[in-house]
Amino acid sequence: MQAPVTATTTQEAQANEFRAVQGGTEIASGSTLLVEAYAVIWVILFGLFFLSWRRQARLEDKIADLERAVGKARRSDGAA
Amino acid sequence: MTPKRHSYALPILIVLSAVTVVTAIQAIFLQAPVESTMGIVQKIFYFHVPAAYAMYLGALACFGGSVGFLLHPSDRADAIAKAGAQAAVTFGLIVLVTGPLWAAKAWGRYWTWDPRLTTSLLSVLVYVAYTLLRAFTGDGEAERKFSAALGVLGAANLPIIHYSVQKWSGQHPRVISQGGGGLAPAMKPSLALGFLAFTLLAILIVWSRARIELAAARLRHLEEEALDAGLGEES
Repeated sequence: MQAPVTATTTQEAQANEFRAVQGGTEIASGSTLLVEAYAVIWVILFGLFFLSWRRQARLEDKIADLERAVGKARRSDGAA
Repeated sequence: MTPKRHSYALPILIVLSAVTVVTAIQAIFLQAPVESTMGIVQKIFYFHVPAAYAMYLGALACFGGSVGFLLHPSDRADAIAKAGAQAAVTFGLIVLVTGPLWAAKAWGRYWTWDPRLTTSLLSVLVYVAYTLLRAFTGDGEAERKFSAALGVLGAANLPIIHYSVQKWSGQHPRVISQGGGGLAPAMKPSLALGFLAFTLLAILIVWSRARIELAAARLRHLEEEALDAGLGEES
């Protein structure tokens, strides 16, 4: 018979006020912080690898174009 | 470091790094026990500490490349220095984000001006400054020399970070450093795998970024050749 009374009392207290845990320093859930930490690691690493891959591809294209152009210019100089 | 000579080495390193990272994650989440006072958030430690160590590796590469460039200026030494600074910034950011997320649970606040936190932040800022300097001032001889000097000076802060906990105490844990209480035996394999994974990632990042910087240097030389050949227009 005591349990329903306690539950009702707790519900009434929760309806009226919010109280922090006494002496606790927790400001966020450990699991959430862990997921956030690992997410940040992967975002940073994959971001860097993606940017590196894109820059490498762009540079290789430019180098190939320039090598072709320089080679062509030299051949035409030689022919002249 | 030329693409032709090491055509297989880089893909092998990529695969090895990926396998080690996956194995480390598996060990951290499925084998390492939950810490008794902090709970699951302590698992950040297995990547936070190796990331700090990887930041040192990047900074050392920057230092080595910078010294090499000051003694014998070359595109290769400059590329290694630049790649090392980029790796130091990458891993430094990981350290500066994961540390406060752990601290939010353990200390009840994200940041405190503890000696190790402050010196780590300063060190990351040095390498951010190096990277920004190279990104916005070009690759002239003077800029490269100035950056090399910064790369040498930046390394001076590394021993200060390492010994700051011992010299000035502070809140930062010293579990695995001198005077620390050590790790539970069941936690050690996960930390060892974390170190291995981040060592491989540091080598991979320095190597791949140095290749890119060497390709950029090759492009600059080709542009000069193109101008000499009378092509007249930089691409």
